[in-house]
Amino acid sequence: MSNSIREMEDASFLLVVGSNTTETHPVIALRMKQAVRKGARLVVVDPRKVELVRYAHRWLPLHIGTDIALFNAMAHVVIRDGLYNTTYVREKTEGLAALEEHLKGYTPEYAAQVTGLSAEAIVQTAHEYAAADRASIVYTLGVTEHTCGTHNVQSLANLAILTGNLGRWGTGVNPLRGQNNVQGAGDMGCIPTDLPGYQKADRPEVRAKFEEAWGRPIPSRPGLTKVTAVDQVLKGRVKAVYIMGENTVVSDAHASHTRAALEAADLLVVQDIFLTETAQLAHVVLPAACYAEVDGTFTNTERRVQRVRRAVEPPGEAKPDWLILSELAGRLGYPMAYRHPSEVWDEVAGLSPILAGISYRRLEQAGGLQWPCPSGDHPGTPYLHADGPESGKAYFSLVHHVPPAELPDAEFPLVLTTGRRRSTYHTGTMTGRASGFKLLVPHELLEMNPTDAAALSIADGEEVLVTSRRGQVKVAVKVTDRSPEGTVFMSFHFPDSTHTNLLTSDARDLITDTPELKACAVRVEKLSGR
Amino acid sequence: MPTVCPYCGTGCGLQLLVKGGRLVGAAPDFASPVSEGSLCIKGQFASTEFVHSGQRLTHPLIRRNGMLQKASWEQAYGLVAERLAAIRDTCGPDAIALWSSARATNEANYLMQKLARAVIGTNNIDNCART
Amino acid sequence: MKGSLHADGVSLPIGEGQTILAVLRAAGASLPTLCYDPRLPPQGSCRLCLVQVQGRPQPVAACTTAAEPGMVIATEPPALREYRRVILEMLLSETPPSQGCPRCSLLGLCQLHAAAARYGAQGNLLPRLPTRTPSPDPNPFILRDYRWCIACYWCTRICQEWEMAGAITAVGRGQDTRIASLPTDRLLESPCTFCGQCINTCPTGALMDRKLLGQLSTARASP
Repeated sequence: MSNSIREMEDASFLLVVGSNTTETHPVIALRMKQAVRKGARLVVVDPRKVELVRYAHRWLPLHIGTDIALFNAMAHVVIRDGLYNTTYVREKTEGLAALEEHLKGYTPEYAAQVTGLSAEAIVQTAHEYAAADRASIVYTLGVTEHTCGTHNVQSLANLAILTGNLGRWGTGVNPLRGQNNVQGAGDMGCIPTDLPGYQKADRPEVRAKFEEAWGRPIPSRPGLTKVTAVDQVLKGRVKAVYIMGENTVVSDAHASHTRAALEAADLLVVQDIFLTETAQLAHVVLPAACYAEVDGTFTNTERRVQRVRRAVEPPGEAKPDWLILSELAGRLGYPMAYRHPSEVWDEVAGLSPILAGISYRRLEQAGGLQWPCPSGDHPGTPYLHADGPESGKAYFSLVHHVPPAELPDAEFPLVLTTGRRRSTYHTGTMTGRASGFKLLVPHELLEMNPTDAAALSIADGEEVLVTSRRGQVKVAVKVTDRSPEGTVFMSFHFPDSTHTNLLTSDARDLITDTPELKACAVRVEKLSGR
Repeated sequence: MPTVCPYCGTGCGLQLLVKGGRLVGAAPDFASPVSEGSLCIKGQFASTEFVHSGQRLTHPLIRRNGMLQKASWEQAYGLVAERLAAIRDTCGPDAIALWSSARATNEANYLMQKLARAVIGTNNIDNCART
Repeated sequence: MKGSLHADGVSLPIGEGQTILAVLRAAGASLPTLCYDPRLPPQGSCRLCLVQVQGRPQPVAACTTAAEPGMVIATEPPALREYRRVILEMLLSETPPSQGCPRCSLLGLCQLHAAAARYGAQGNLLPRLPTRTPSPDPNPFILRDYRWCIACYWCTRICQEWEMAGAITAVGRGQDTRIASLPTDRLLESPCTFCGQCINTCPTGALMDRKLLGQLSTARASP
């Protein structure tokens, strides 16, 4: 997030896009609700009638995968009507003229046609966003899990840049991250292109710094993202896969493809806390300690590094991940002599300028510290770009609307979109073991609009067969107007009975390789009378 | 024991309640500037039982004759190191891919990419952020 | 900062928009409260945070009174201590004897009984009234034993005004007031999301984490 969670309470306009916040980030949703109480306007952009719509002043139920048409049209209106922040644009940005030219065709009327919204609602939303003192854009995977995910984000960023809604309290472009330390995994350099602290692995001076610290050469060859590596296993170029703490065969798109790859690997090592569906495929399984059994840090969605503390002992011979990895490195001829995770952290901080001022001692304070925190006396950074764009000038992105990779047709007439629910989490390894939760959501549900259900003579609660080009699952139907006509929704929390990701598509964003989990074409059929 | 909730990316402050070496429940951390005493159902009611589940992995497993069987850490480390080294030596370091965890600590993630880059010699390191 | 006030002889800085209670709490003072939550607009109904402000004829509720530079405040004069004791005696008379409090016995003193102990309220000043009735709600998460309820409405306020779930509400009047979930009084059939806010704000043993109670009694049975 460019800004912080608590700032949302002070925004005067919230544009929440592709985020079922009250269910997936309930405590962040509390800030949104407070903002509304304090008089902020809330506009929810989502094809589904998510719970947050109840608190919203306007709901924009666009067709799935038409975000760019909407946000480009909003930018078009902001420029056309002269509502952009002239000072900010003049001093801090480049390329307004090119953007204006690029957006010529994105009239509200055109966008209305593409998105299914009214041109009037688009114009009004653009006007309100531009007029707000402090406008905050908040988005989740509904924006990024598309083949055009990066472009979706860029079209949103254009709006913030145009109106100067960056670098101030209560503004910004704010992705809500879905997992406790997904921010930290990236910060620590678990991305093919980046060493810790987002230092680029293709820069010689960066590699030289790490080579000196680590005493080993750092490869300059670009690495493979996870989804690309899956393809390369099947092509025989990647022979070994080492997975730490992820139930990949359940959580990832196009599950049969992922499973085939992991089965084909010469060596699969899985380090986890349970014998997950993925661990069951492994050649070697390493038992790890869980969050309550280790000392360490997590970094939340607002870049806040916080201490995680060991409260109980790990079961049996299970060990903390950091210790397993250090001991294994020793077996591979590279001894690591860390005695405590704090020593690992000190090494990270010493090598990463954005984390340099953060130490375990400073993290004793409740709430920890938000990076960038370059020195020991720096208080941390609640919002970025306070002194203008980090890169000097902000550039507008010239992106075009492209429909999802797989559109409904006669054979697969419905769009399946996937997501999470409040009381269950991911592949269910943790929440599935919490007593009482079965009473809340006992099994997977296919949410379907009453009109679609009626057309297929499907009753509420009836079990149906869902088929895509990649797979087939059985699931009970929940008839609800949360789903728009033509779109059905499922989570992926119940892989034992309904393995949703057998259906999903691994069509992916060209820049980030993020799969299009938010749209694939399916057919729904009655089980009885087939 | 003050810590951070293990579920979504919000990072709510969580107090783990411990009795006799076991977690018995959780409560919000009112001192957390992120959550200020709030939690959701997952943090309040689903953050401790799985920890003491009888299904937790308690020792390394090695596949022998198609079946995962109990092994010692010595055996497991030995096998993983030997196979990784052999694959690296015959097919090159880029024949190995490592996927880190958005659920593990920063320290574990840092060591995972250090293992990939400094020890094995590949940039084939990624995490579950894309899914 | 906007000046400072004097509380019990100590000078304390006043922050932007702070009430007397906020100033005292920020300085680590432990004025008792049974209805104050920094996340909610102050209600001033429990009357435990009354303080004496020099120059004012009556004590004022610290949670609802804006701090002003130069205020001279006494938080624990004998008359106020006695006043608090009587309020607490009234609350104790509505609830069962304190030794049976589930929160106190399992998690350390609840806020009601901690305040009672501090001010010497022993539950013997007033005749004990009949308690409220426990809810038979079978949900597996939240135990609703309203025998311990003191009708502070913290739970309904946090549910309605902060969580905005609107799962529970106060019905009835006076001693007949009870907290209910409409329409069936079963939380599983209400808008409740089991966020736990009501459990974590309840200052008595009326709302408890049912799973925690189960775990604690198991831990107790097998030491």
